[in-house]
Formats: sequence, C-alpha cells, structure tokens
Amino acid sequence: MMKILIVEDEKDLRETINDYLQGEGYECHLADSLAQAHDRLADMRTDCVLLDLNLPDGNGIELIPEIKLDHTGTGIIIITARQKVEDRIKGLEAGADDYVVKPFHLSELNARLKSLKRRLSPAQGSPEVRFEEISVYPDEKRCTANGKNLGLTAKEQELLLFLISNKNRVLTRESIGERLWDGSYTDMPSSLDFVYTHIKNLRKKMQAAGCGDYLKNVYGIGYKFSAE
Amino acid sequence: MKLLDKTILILVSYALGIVFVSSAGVYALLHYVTDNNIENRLEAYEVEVKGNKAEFIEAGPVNWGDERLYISPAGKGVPHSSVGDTAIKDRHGDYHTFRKRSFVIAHQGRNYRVELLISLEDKSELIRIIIVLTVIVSMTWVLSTLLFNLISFRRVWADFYKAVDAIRDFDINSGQTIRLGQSQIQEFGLLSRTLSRMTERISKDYARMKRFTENMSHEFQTPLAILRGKTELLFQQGGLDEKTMQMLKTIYDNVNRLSRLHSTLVLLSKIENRQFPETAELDIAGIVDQKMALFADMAGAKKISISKTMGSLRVQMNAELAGILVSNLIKNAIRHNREGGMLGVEVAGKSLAISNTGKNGALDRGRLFERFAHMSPDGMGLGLSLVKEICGLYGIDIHYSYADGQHRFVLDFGPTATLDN
Repeated sequence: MMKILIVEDEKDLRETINDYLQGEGYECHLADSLAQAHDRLADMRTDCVLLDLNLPDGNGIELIPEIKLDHTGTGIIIITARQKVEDRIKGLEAGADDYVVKPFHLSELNARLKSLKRRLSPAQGSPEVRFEEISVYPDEKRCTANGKNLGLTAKEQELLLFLISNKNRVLTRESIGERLWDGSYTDMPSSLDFVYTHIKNLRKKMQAAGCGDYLKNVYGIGYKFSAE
Repeated sequence: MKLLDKTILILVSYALGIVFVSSAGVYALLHYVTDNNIENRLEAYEVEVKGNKAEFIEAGPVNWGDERLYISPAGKGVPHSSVGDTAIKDRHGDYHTFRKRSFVIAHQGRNYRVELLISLEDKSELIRIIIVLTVIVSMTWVLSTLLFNLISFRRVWADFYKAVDAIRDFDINSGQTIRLGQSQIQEFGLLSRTLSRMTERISKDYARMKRFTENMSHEFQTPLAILRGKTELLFQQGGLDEKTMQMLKTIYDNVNRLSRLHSTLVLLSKIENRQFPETAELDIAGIVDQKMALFADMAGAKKISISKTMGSLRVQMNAELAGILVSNLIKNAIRHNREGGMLGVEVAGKSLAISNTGKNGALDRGRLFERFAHMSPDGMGLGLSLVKEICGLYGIDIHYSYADGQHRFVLDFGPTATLDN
C-alpha cells in the first residue's frame, strides 16, 4: 500500500485531502509543520510527500533536500498557493517532482499522485494502466481494449487516463476541463461543452471496441468511470 | 525652451530696455542742461551789449566762429526781441545751426538791431559722445552678465540635474528611495529633501500594496481549496437526492467563479503594480503557435477555419504576460466566433493582428476594455481588461475595428519590439 505524508498546516485542507486519498486506498499520515514532517519521515517509509510550502515554522522547500538525501525514491508533490511561476520553478529545482496550485481539484491531485507513482516505480509491473479490459500506455500514447487499438486522440487518451485514475469517483466537468486544457479554459464555462464533445467521442470509440459501459453520466455534475 | 535660454532672453530684453530708457533719459537731461547753458550765455551777452552800447556799435559785427554778433541800424516798428534757432550757410555751402537771440537797442536817438548767435554744434557733439559712452558701458555690462551666466549656469544647476537624474533612474521595484547629498543652494536642498520624503512615502505605500496583493493572492487560496475539496467529497457520497446535488453544484460553481475572479483580479493588480519586472526576448509567432495548439480543440469543435500569416516579430516582455496577452485574444476570437466562422492571425512588421467573424455586430468601443463591462454568461468581462493592462504596461498600441462582419484587434508592439535580422 502506498504511504503518503500530507504536510499542510490548514487542518481542514489536510483532512479533506486525507479523506479523498484514503478513499483511494492510500495510507495517509499527517503533519502540520516542518518539525512534525521531519519526525514522521524518520518514523516510517514514505512513498510520497504532499508538501505545502507555507508552513508555520518555515518554507516547505527546506524539507526537499532532506527527503531527497535520506529517503531516495520518495516522491514530492508541492502544494502551493503561490501563483508565482518562480516559486514553482524554485520548488522543482530543489527536487520536487510535481506541483499543484491551490485551489486544486482533488481528482487532479489524485491523478498526479498516480502518475508520479508510475514514474517512481517503473520496475513494479508494466508501464500500462489497466481498467478491466482497457489498457492505457501513457508513455507510448497508445490505448487498447481487448488487445485492439482504440485509436484515441491525445486529448481523449488523457481524458481516459484521468477517468481511470479517479475510477469510481464523481468527476466534475470543471475538473476534467482543467485537466485537459491546463486551466486555460477555466474562465469560460462554454469550455465544458468541449468536455462533453470529448466524452461523447471517447464513449463512441469505446463502444466500437466492445468495451463495457463504464462511463456514466452524473446528472448536472459530471461523470463517473466505474465498472459497477 | 531651456531655463538658461529663457533667463538670458529675459535678461537681454530687460537690459536693452534699460539701455534705451537710460540713454533717452541721459539725452533729455543733457539737452536740457546745455540748452540752459546757452540761454544763460546769451542772456549774459545781452546784458553786456546793453551795458556797453557805444563800444559794441562802434566795433560793429563780430565773428568768433561759434559765437557771432551782428549789429545793424533798424527802423521803427521792428519786433522788440526774439529767440530762435537758425541755420547759416558757410563758405563751403554747409549749414550750421545756431541759437539766435535778437533785440533792439537805442543809442543816441537811433535804433540798432542786435543779433547774438551761439553755435549748437558743440552741444550736439557732446551729447553724441555721452550717448555713445552710455551705450558702450551698458552693453559691456549686459554682455558680461550674459557671459557670467553662461559660465556659472552649469555649476549653479548641477544639483538640480543630479536630482533629475535620480528621479529618472528611480525604480520603485528596487525598494530604494532617492537620497541626494547636501546642496549649497537652499532651494535645491529643499528639492532633494522633499524628493527623499516623497520617494520614501511612495516606496512604503508600494510595499504595503504589494504585501496586500501577496496576502490576497496567498490567503484566499487555502479556504477556496477547502471549499472546493469538501464539495468534491460531498459529490462522492451516495444517496444524495437530486435537489441536494443541485445545491452542491451551485456552491461548487460559485467557488470556482470566486477562484477565477480572485486570481484574475490579483493578476490585474500585480500588472498595475508592475510586479512583473523580469523580461525576456520572445518570439510572438512562437507564442501564437503554442496558444493556437491549446485552443485547437475548441476551434475544431466550432468548425472555425484558421488562416495564419506569420512574420518574424521579437519582443522584449515578461513571458507570462505575453502568453496571457496572446491567449486572451485568441480565446476571445474563438469564444465569440460563430459556427463555421473564420479566425485570422497575422504577424507582420511590429504588429500582431487577430481578426474573427462574430455572432453580433461591432463591439462598443468606449466600454471595450472596461472591467465587468460585458458580463456575458460566458465570461467574467475581465479578459480584455487584462489585455489592455498588459498593453499599457509595455506601451503596446491596441486598436479595435469592425468591418465586413469581422472583429479585428491590432497590436502595435512599437518600442517593445526588438529589431530582428
């Protein structure tokens, strides 16, 4: 089971993240300061650290060298409220693997965690992401169902990967839009029509390949990818 | 006009006036004094003639050159006495001016007419010399003053120019205030002290504003993240009825809206506060390509035909802002386009032109860039304000026109463009 350390000083946010990630079957540990994070890291093996930068006893960046040095193989995702590009760059330069900017979608954080997990442990199993009869090969930009190529476009494959990463979860159209277009569309609700267009196309291609009807509408809100 | 030129102009006109008036004054005074002198001499002469009638009558006319006396027998009924100027022709035919005093004397029962003349030419000569001297002295004074001013100007105004340089080089982002050394000139000392105080206050205000924007941008995000996260968690719970779900969705939508509004407003005020000091040389065509790729899906879904004419245009700008600028314009051109419309992007010379077909007619030019001016259900009405702010920051000229059913935005990068090739 993947062990995650959530370093975030805001209790409500810490627990919100914890709630969502536990639902994904991760083992989560919590820390509200640099000092506590330091102790937790020493106590146990951690696969991934979700690191808020703005902590009461210092900048989260300070923790990155320690993690990189003493806990090789531990992934780091920075959680930052800072929209400043320099802060992200500083974090990535210090050795973080990825970042999310507040306010992020939990589904987005989850997708990034899964992607990071794949990158961190390529040796464990195949590079593919499986869901029932569907296999997505993120690195090859290829996607098959029952061994047959689905012929998805890059965006459709990204969408499918996002859906599978958050399987059995209700995904809002907004979070899908943000994922697919990197936030560029977010100030225009009509972009949600494009989410709909992509979902429709994906569904068609999956049906043509004889996949199960996994892509379900959640009325007025979004979609859910589920085998149930 | 330079201060020096202006000062000198005033000085010269003032000095010339003084020279003119004082020369005229000197002239009038001398005129009066010499005239008076001649009158007195004539008067004394008359008294002398009247006192020694016999001698003068016997001696007859006298000619000492510039003083003459004519005496001739006169009949009865001649004017008793008169004073006036007269001109007398000499041997060479030249005229000479004299002051003439004539009167009648009676001697031994006969009347004699006496004319006393004194030349006025000495007087004119004297006046001329004095006037010339006055003018020479005055002009020497004026010229030497001018010369002195020219020489001392730079020295006197050195502190002033130092202050001007300091103001020009003042960079509010550096957080420094203007500090000038002591000036020997009181006024410039006052200027530099006032400048120090003013820039100190500006820097403080600026720092406060910057801190406020930073707090705004930072502190809002966590509560928004919690709200969004909790709502997303609630969506995951089974067993909620449709009404509850719709209410949750409304909360969720508005959290998203608040988040968008907030980040855009923070961005706007950051631009206004010039908090994007880092610039780089960027290729506009490259940015256009990158943004077009991002919006390709959207344009494709609307079946918009795209035409691109890409010249080479390099600009010196902040990369993030250049991206926002281009992406907002392209996004608008797609968003407000009609099904099956067209979108044209043209990079030529120093300008970028984006034109698109639209659903409605021309936009209201007056309110085009106003914040929240066109709150369509589709957007926040902040996109073009952002464009305008960024253009304003870099002195980019933006121009909107509408013709043949096409909206057209032309950006003239002007001073921001760095010459290529």
